[in-house]
Amino acid sequence: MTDVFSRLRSGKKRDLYYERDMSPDTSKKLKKDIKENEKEVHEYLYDCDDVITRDFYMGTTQKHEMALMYIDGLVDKNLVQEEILKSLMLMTRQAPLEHNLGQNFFNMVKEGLLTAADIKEVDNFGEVVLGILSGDTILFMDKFEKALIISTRGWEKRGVQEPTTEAVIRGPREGFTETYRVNIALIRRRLKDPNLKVKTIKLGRHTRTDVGVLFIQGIASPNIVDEVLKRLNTIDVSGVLESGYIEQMIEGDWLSFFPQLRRTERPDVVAACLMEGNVAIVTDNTPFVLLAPGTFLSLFQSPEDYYERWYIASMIRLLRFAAAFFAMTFPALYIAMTAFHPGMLPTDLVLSIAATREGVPFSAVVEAIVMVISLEVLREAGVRLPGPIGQTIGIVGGLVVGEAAVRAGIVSPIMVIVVAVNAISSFAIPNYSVAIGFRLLTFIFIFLATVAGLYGIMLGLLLLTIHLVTLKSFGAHYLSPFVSFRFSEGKDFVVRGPMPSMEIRPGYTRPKDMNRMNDRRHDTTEKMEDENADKQ
Amino acid sequence: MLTNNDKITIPQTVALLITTILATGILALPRNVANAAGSDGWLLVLLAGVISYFSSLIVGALVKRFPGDTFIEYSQKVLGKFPGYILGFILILYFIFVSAMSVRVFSEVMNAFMLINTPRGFIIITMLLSSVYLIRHGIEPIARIGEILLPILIIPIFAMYLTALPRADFSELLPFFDTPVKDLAISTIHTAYNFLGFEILLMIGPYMRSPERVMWTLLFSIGFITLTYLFIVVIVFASIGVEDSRILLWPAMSIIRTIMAPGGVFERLDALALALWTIASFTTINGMYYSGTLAAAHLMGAREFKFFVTIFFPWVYLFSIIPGNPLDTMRWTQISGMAGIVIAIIIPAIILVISIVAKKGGKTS
Amino acid sequence: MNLSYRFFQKIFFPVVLLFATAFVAGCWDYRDIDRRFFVGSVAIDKGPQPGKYNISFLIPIVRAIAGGEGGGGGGGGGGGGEKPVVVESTTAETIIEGARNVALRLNRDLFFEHMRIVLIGEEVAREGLEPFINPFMRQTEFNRRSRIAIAVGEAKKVMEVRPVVEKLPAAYMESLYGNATHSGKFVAGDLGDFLHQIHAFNGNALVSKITPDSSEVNIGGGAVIKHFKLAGWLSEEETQGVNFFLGKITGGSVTIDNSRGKCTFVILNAQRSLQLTADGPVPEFQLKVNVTGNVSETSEGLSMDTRNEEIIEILVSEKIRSEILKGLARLQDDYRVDVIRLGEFLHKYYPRLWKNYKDRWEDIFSDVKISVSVTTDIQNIGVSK
Repeated sequence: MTDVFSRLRSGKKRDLYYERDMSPDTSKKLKKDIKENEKEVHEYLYDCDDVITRDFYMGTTQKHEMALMYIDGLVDKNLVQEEILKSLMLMTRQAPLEHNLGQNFFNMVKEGLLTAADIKEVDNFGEVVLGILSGDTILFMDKFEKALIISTRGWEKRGVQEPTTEAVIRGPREGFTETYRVNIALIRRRLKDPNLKVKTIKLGRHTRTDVGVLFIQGIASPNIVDEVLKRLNTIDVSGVLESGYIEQMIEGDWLSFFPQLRRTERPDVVAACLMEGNVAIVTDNTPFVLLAPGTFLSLFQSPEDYYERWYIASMIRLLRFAAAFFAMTFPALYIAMTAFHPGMLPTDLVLSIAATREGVPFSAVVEAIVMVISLEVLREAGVRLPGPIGQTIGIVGGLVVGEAAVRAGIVSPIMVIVVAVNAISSFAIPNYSVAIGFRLLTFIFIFLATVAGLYGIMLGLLLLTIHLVTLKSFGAHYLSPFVSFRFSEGKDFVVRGPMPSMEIRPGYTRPKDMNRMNDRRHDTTEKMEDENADKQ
Repeated sequence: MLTNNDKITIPQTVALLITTILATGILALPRNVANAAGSDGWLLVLLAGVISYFSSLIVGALVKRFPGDTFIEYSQKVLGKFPGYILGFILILYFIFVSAMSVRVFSEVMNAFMLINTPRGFIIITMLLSSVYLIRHGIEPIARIGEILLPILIIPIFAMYLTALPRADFSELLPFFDTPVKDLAISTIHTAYNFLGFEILLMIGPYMRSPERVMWTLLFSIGFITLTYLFIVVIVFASIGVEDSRILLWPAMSIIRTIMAPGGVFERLDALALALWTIASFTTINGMYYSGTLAAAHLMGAREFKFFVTIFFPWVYLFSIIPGNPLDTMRWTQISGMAGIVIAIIIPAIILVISIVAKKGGKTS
Repeated sequence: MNLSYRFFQKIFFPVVLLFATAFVAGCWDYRDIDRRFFVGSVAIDKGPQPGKYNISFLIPIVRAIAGGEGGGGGGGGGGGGEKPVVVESTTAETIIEGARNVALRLNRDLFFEHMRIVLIGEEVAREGLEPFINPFMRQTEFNRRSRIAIAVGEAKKVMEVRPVVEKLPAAYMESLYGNATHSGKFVAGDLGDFLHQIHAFNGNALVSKITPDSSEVNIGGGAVIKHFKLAGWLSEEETQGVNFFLGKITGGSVTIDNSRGKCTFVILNAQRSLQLTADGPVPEFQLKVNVTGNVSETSEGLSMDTRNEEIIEILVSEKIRSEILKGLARLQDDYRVDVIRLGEFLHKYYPRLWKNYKDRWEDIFSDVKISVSVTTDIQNIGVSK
């Protein structure tokens, strides 16, 4: 198809320059002649002006011709100079090389001369080109059909900073960065366990993004791991720029309002979830790590739930559920209550609401829709603009315009309160993208409430429940602890049980090893208390 | 011959049974028992619960006797191909009719208390569509949704009626045992209509993960239902009196209108209560409708039941608009109740007896 | 292809359907809150010709209640001069018809779920209540928790009272009924109780009485309904007596006066027990009432000691007993109607016996002998001796 179009566009002459497939080919082997190799690589990286080639001769005899190739900016120049050029060009002079080493010369260089840490031997152009593009340095040697990939990756990158979307009061301040290796290291630092497996694959025809699948062998169910790998391998896109690409490609029901993978910026969350039997998907170039299978509950979890004492955690989690409910339904409830069932509200409240609506030209529905939309616009405007201006937008929009609208009698003050409560509730949901989903549902609920009042809202909630019940994420029920509820594993749902009572892992991942801890309520704690009592 | 391999656990079966049995009929229950036995009405509920439990054991015995078979299969095995076929057809008709009646009663309560001007068709169709959306996903999601909705339904109901306690006058339950025994016996049968719904086990039995515990499942479900009914009847009697219960169409709903939420947040809780009855009704329709489509699929030997879900939709709707007014509906629900007794107790009893005599059926327990 | 088909099947059609229903459906029951009038009270009076009633509705004007500040800027001024409530009257055969009549004159719907009190005129009550009380049962908009009272004179007059202490007359009247802990001299029942009595006792009921004044109403006393017709009034004392009999006293006070001085006894709680003592052709009952309360005011010089305490207890008991007897005498002798639920008592606790009396109960009731004994306990005497 594309061929036809491009031919039509370019006329009869096929423009080789643009038509040629640049994808590196691993079947194409390296040649003996160093110049030919260089030429071939340049053929691949034609018109890539950021590729640097450095030819040099090694040793005192200056007989061994060598070449370095790398991309400017992706490599750590110091590393190239100190660990490669210096050791090959200068150090070798102090200890003259024996001549005619033959094939051993290559090994000599690799094993005896180069002081760089990470070296890999390759024999085809595919890997060579990919290595160059990934920020490695390639060392060609004349008369050898092999080359060395020396890891010299080092580019300007953001350091480990506090995650902005998942801030906590109590808990580690470290968040993931855009660098794959750093992210893996952040997780590895938390799980010093040989069972933590990291499987790296490359995704994206053009981006060739490193994607790592992490899981703990012995906990994670092999079914889920296989399923994740299987789905990842089916992805064939031109690019993966963010984990969102992967998330949307591998989730089961892409029409759902609810993300079926959990995403996080925090290594501690990833570590905790890995220990619950989840599979983590780390994507290069983004600080967001995906966790599968996702559950409805995970949308309401914050790492703090586990760091704080359990009453606090439970209360906050309950609040979040309430907030999510209001984020979906509050304007709808207002409409249902005032326009359909004013008998439910206390008389004084009814009269005062009616009084505030006196003289407002629009019906409550129109008012609600207009207000919710304008609030969404304000929020979006505030997010896009830099900090101080964003705040100004909030103040101008929220206070000035709102106040003016109320004064002018276009909007009733109670509606301002309703919409504000609705918006604030949505911000209490830890997961931003989910919060937006809930706010989208607001419109549907407003519509349902307008047609059939509280019955409409109930119908909407029922449909939502049906959808959630039938939703599955990688074989796990999305509504997990709520369905097939077992009390022993159910200490972590709407409330979070005391830590010592959470002896087993949640069952939705079907972990191979259910035990999280030994039951310490009966032995350890009491023993400690007894010992203390004895001492006194 | 299972259409799919979904299995439901014991708690799910209990939830499914309870939510199926618990329907909008409970709103009228206090009136029925007050008319039948006056202040002894609560006794009627208790008796009907006990009788229903023992009758449901027949269905339970069939489930145990024919593991892996639905009513459609074992009726044909026991009675022969053709009579079994006829019975299966009656069963389908019954399930469809009962789901139509429950959606109809729901729409009437809705029209009376909440959406006075909204056309009945709108309420019925939206309700049925939601139900269709769910049951197309099969037995497991239905059971799971029952599991989720059960606490959401039961806890607020109890909480709501408990707030009526301060106004209650329990001497309304006196005089005790003032009704002739004969009247009690007859009315008990009528009251037992409210316990119908366990007959879905005729179809759903083979989908239970551990059918050997079906007796416990039934005991728990029907026991729970009996307690709930008892609770509501007692509270209704105690708060508005037996005499008013006789007159009001839906006394259990009317007393909610007199309840003020603690703290005065809501002037009255009726709309909230109706939202809850939406759940109760929805789950009942699900159970019945699904059993009907499943029976049809088994009868036709179809591999996929979803087709029948769509086919039955207009029929359920048509059945539901047969009665002209609430009084008519009451008559039709009486008829469906009588049919229910036949379907749920008498026919299974006959099949069970024949199968024992003729030594048909798999393992005997 | 497959995916886009799924998209259409799953998202597009439902959304189109949703909006289609929205356009076709309209919103049958949708009515903005400012398009309703929240009727606070309904009054029923005798109409110009028999079978017709004057029905009045008390309607709050929310614009005036909100007080003008802040809110209704666009509403065209509002202002202080507006009356917070209006009374709309019409002549009709039933309440529902009356409401429909009013709709010809008012641009908003009448909405009854917030109705606080039903007022029935004295004349119309004497003629009979049964023609118009049914909608309170049949219609869901009427709340069983609202109050019902028989007005002395015309019911509309009660409605026209403009209380000084509250803006809304209906809320004012209704809140008076919450004063049971301050006084036992009124009938504290609601519409639900009233309907219950009417249905359970063959049209007999004890209802509240309401007396209008220029800027206040008085709910003291009671009205006795016999066979749906007003039989007569009970005075405040008699009402308190009947309340003692029914065990409905949760407050109030008794003042005694003898040669040694005055004393006000504030009732905290009263417990009663009723017993059947004889079941001959005419049953006999014994009522025991135990009152606890505080001595809260005495004449100067009357100090509390054991002897005085005993005297006060005896005098209070005497006083309460006389109130009860007065109330019983009025009901048994003058009105000959059982609104003290003796029949119900027999029906509940002696169902077999009740069957003998049931048919002749109205005749028997006035001959029933009730012996009353009252005991009083003083709980607190304040902080002075």
